[in-house]
Amino acid sequence: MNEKIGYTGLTANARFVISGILSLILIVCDSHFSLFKDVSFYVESYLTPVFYIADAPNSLSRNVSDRFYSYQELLEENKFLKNQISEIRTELLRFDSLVEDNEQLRRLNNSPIRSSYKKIGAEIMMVDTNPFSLTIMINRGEDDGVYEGEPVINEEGVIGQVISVAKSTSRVLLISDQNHAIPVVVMRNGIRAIVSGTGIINELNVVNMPRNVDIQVGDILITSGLGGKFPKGYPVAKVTVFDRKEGLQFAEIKAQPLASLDRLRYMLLVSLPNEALPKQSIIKDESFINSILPRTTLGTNKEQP
Amino acid sequence: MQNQVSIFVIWLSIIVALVLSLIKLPIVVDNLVPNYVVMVVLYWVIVCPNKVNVGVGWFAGLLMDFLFGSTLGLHACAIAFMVWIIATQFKNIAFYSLLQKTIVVGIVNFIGQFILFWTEHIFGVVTVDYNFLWSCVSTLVLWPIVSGILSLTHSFNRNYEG
Repeated sequence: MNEKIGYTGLTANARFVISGILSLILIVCDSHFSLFKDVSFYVESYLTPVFYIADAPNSLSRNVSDRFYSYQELLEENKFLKNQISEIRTELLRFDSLVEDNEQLRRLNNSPIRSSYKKIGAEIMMVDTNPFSLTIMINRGEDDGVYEGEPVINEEGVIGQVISVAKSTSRVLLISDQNHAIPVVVMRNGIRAIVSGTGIINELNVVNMPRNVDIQVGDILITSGLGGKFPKGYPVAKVTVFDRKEGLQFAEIKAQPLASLDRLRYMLLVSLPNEALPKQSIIKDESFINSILPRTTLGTNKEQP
Repeated sequence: MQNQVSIFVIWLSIIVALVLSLIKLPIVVDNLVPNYVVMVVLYWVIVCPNKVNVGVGWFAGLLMDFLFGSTLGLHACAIAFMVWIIATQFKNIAFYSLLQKTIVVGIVNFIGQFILFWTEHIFGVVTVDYNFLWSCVSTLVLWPIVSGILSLTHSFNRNYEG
């Protein structure tokens, strides 16, 4: 059998060697030096229609099921939502005066006043992503002002951060991915910790805490804002397991994300004002922490500096 | 004889496979989704090895990397590897019976998925998810159906199918 086939007249072995070398170069350049950010931005932007086609069956079925709401159901839901809004409004009345109080106290203390952040809503696109990592795709991109590293939250808690942006879509790394870690404080007593993902969608690890640390099952962990990526004060997870294992240096602490990451639909992108990110100091901080914790970085994806 | 399949049909089928593999199904059946791109590419390698070879497989894998948002080159490497095994080790596979072809494709896909897993593991932290074994099984089971559908696009090799 003649082995020289096709247009180029190369044997299959030669082709495999060439393509193997090419893919090795691609993998190394992409995973360690992220040289192809721009290329994948353009390619993903051109491929956006493909994502919308792939999303079409799911969005169609959603639309169809929305159509079949009965009048009665809609009335009931409307009533329920109105009640909920009035409840939340009454809570907000107190919140407003608390904010005022807080600002006055901060002025007395000469501390900077925290402003509220600009948020944009986004919806998940039902598109399959890399099976080896926990990422989702959302229907907002560069056109809507999304930037890389932007925190993503919903009404329950923190979801993750944007890792790549295209023209009108972007990908979000969930907090329970193995490459993700987020700096938190325990709400009850202000102990600082780092919560890293495990790869299991509803499980997080609180890493490197001494065995006598005052953390209990049921404690709420909120973002500390130390990494500069996530704004301060958003709830992240609830401690589910606290185990002082004999003979181990650290306590084994597991937590469950407050946002139900496997049933996401709507979420909010929080864009931090630029002055809130003192870049230089953070990068120094991160390289320091990287040297201690080889597997985790402070609130960032591993590929970023 | 074998040149009757137009390159347009081949790429159309690969693109359809890419879109199909992007569709997210309910979580119960999501693990059972076969690897459509691998099935289609391996079918064309068997039917017309002079048009679809390592290069086409590599490029289809690269498109898959862009669409899945994984590290560029991972799927490309894995699919090129699968095509290379078929093209060099099974030169007479076009004359095998459908059952034999199915077994060969299933095993090659299984090895390819392991290669994918290990390359990903070497270059980064991955989540160990043994559910990909289910997708290997469904690829094996569904390959005869896919090859039957694809053989409708051309008519010359009916007598090879056994």
